[in-house]
Amino acid sequence: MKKSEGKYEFDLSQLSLKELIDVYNEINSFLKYLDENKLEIGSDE
Amino acid sequence: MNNNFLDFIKKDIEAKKTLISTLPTKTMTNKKKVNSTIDATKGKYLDYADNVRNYINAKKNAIKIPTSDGNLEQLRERVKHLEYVKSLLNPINSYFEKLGFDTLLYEINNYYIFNFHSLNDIINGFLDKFEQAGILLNSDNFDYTCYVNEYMSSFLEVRRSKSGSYARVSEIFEEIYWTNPELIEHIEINFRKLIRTNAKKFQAYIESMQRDVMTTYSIASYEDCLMKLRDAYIELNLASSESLLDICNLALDGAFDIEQYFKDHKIRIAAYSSLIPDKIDYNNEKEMGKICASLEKLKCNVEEYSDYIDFYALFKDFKDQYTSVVNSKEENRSLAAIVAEINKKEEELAKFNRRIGKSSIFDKREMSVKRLKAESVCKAKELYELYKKYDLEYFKDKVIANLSSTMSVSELLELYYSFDYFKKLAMQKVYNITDYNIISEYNDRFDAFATNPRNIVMTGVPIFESSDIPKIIANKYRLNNINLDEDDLSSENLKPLLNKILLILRTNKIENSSISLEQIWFIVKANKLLDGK
Repeated sequence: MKKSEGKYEFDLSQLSLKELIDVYNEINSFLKYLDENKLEIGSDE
Repeated sequence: MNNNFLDFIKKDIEAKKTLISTLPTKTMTNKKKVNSTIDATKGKYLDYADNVRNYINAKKNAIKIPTSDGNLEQLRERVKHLEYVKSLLNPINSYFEKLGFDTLLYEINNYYIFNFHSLNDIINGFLDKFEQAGILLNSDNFDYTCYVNEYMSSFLEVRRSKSGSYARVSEIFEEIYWTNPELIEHIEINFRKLIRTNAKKFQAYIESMQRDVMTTYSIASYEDCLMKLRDAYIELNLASSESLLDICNLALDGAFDIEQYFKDHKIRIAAYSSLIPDKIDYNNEKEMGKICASLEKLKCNVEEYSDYIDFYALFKDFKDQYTSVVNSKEENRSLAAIVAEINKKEEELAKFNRRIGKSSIFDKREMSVKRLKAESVCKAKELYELYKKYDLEYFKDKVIANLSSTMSVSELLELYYSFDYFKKLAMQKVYNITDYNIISEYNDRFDAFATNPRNIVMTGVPIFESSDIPKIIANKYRLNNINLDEDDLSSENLKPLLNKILLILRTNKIENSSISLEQIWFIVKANKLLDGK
């Protein structure tokens, strides 16, 4: 994964097949975590 | 620059989680801040997910699984043709079974039990077979009773017109049914009479077909056909043995868990250590080649034995029925006597029907004619019962011709396979089946078992003697360096045993190929992940 303008530049080809699947799983479970931790906006207490 | 994206992701996720969990959430402003941090992070991670997914997809598509370029279709066709020739040359059965009359007979015979969608199809099936042999039937041939004649005259008219509209035929059936509810049974025995009286023509037709196929396929005799069929099966089995692509597709379909195939997985370790002696080096290609060759054979034997267990009740029923016959060695004289009785009674019935003449069958004024018709139906009913007796004796006669105290399961498989009608009747009785679809399912499984070219154990299993099949199999494979005991072959252990054998055969195949286990695992995982999106 290369991002010329970004801070990091990653080469996915360096990962083993198992690591690729792990990366994808990590990202997806984190996306799920983010959705679950979004807060409901009510009024100021 | 951090080149390991996995490490980066793990650390980054940890840091982001810590940040989010420590952000204040008391006020609405705080909450908005939390949500905006989450949204920003989510945007970035959705971007990551897209990139990784695309990469996984490309990587998966780049893995090329070797495929066999064999001429499978051609080999299958060859086997199919030789099976057809074999069925035509089968020395055990007659033109009756070879033409499939017994299958139609079973259907019309069980019309009420199985509620067939169309009686018309069965009747057309009978008529087709007559026409195939050059025999064109007309309404005069259906003279068993005046009701059969009425119904079949109408049926033949529709058939000749090719309109396919059987509405009027159904109406006639309705009208007749209340006077003569056994109409279908009488149509059946009318067909049986016609088949018997045309026996010579059918026999000649089969003989001409036999000559044709023998010339077409260069077959000298039935034995020659069996040899050619065996060779064709060997070629087909070789070409159609489980390929890497098959293994991959099975893993994709979830037929087995590919994780269990990795070297350090406890299931794989257990499978290897339970079947392969300790002295064998798993990394020695030659030694493992020998083990796998034996396991291939064991797999076939286990599948064959499993089929045997599935149909054991059928074999036992046969044994119970014929043990006294095999011991008495008496000739079966009943069949000829029944045939003579049927001929006599059918002649009487024909005379009787001639007396009825051509009066309308619903003419209620003619009381004497009405009585004659009722008596004709009674006589047909008696004949139907006689035909039932005939069926039992006919099969008994065929059985006796092939019966011996050393008869093997393999011979019985061939016998039942040659007599579809009796095979289905036996299944119906033994398994107490009342649903036609279930009979069909049992029948298909039985036929696959009976014609399985890999059967070998059954040739040595006697019907009338007891035999310890697990012991025979286990002893054979212990000689071939396979750890196997009789317990492994108990009916509840057969499936786990097969799974162990398959695991070893498949891992060995994969490890000796151009593709790795990890690549197959990756394809399976990637497919799951990509499908889930």
